[in-house]
Formats: sequence, structure tokens, C-alpha cells
Amino acid sequence: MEYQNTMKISFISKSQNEGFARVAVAAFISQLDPTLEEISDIKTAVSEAVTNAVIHGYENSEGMINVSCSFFNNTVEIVIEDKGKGIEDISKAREPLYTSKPELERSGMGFTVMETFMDEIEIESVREKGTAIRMRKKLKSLE
Amino acid sequence: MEIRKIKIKIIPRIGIIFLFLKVYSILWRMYYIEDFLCLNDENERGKTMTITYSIKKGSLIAKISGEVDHHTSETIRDKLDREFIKHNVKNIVFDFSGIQFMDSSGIGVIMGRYKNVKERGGQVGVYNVAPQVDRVLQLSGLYKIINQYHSLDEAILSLQ
Repeated sequence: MEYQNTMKISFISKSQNEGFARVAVAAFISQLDPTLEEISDIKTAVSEAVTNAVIHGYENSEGMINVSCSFFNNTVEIVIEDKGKGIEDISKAREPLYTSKPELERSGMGFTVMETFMDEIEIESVREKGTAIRMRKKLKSLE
Repeated sequence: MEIRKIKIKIIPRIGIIFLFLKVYSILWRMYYIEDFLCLNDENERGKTMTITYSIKKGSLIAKISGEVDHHTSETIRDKLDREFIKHNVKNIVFDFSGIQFMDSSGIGVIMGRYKNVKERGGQVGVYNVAPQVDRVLQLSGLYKIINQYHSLDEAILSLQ
């Protein structure tokens, strides 16, 4: 049997919506019946990406964040987009413990967490145009 | 005649002193109660995180329940720093038994508290760490600077 489904949500870049975004994605993928560990991995990765959009993309000003989630058989793909200021240096941003905002007491582990908890991650970013993060994870529980 | 004069002088003074005491006590209570009633933070409406504290042998024990993300971490930071200043403690011990979710914002919170504690020559400890939280903490290499314990008793014993 083939599983296939897609959803998309948009919300304003408020920190309150970080929780909403990860719970919405978790609720959507729950129809695949993943393990608790898989759900919490995906929730954590989504939370990191949305937090980045709020803090770095829009720098706490207001803008829209789009999250889309789809799955085909046992592979989940999540895209988190913002129309914010973009990432200056992607390879530097991916370095563990690097943060462009040290004054905020951030750990600089966002991308490391996404890379560890998901199987694949692609970052597209254009300065002053926005950032899109595409993440994929194969749910082993469905194999 | 003289007694009357004294009465007139003293009675309003006592009244003023009582008034001051009353105002002072009301302000004092407000300072503590705002924590309790959550008057100090409009973001706490529909909050997804709570902290409770206790003090044991020079350590501040903070039990964090609910979700730790960028949104809630600011409140956690403010509250912990206030408690840390208010009580003259050396160490901070986190009880993570009630945590349902934590992302890398939690790492930032612990790192920041570690700096404060270090200034007083203390240490940071955690116990009751769930597997999901443990993975995030391990990833960051945080266990190089903080200690993980199996129980509160073990933490208190080794931090003394």
C-alpha cells in the first residue's frame, strides 16, 4: 500500500508559534504511526528551523513563515521557508557552536541538531530574499 | 495640657509609621506574588512551561516542566537568575523529569547559567534526564562542563 499526503501551514514569526509548528507537523506525520523517538527527532528539527526563521530570518520583526510537510511511503520531507534577510555564510552557520548572535545566549547548535536528527538537510538562502530549509527523514519503523 | 500636646504629636506619627509599614508590606507581597500570579509576563498566557524551586544545602534545585524552546527559554533564564541572586547559593541543579520537549535553546540556557555559577565557584548538575533531552545535551558536549546524576540525593551529596 502506498502512503502519500501533503500539508502546508503559514504563520506569523512569533516565538509562540514555534510550539504550534512542531506540534502541527507531529500531528500530521502521526498518521504514519512513527515511533516516539522519530516524532521527537522531527519535532526538534522543526523547532530549530522555525526558531532560526524567527530570530535570524526576521530578527524578531514580523513576517510569514511557511512550513510544508509531505510524505511518500516512508520518507518524510519538511520545508521551512521565510522571506527574511537570508544567511550570510551557510557553511559557517552549519558549524557546531557558531552563532551570529552571541549576545542572545544561543548555543549555535541549531543546524547540528537538524543534521543529526534528520537524514538529509538542504539549505537554500538568498540575502535579503529569504531562506528555505528542506529536511528529509526515512521512518525506519515503517520498513 | 502637656499630655494632650504629646498625644497630638505622637498619634499622627504612629499613624504615619503604620501607613509606611502597610505600604511596604503590600509592595513586598506584590514582589513575591507577581511570580505566583504571573503578572510580570504577558507571554505566560497559555504557558507551556513551569518552574518550581527549592533550596538544599547551598544548591538551587529548579524543576522545569513542560517545553523548553526559544519562546520559553527567556522566561526560564529570567526566573532562574532572579532566584539565583535572591538566595545566596553556589550550585544549580536541574530536575528534568517534567520536560516534554527540549531543543538547542535549552543548551543555551544551561551554558548561560554555568557562567553565572562559575563566578561563585559552583557547579551545574542535572538529573532525571529523559532520552530525548539526553541526546540534545550529548550532542552539544555539555556533559564536559556539567554533571549528570541519577537522583537528587546523589547530586546534593557530590556537590557539597
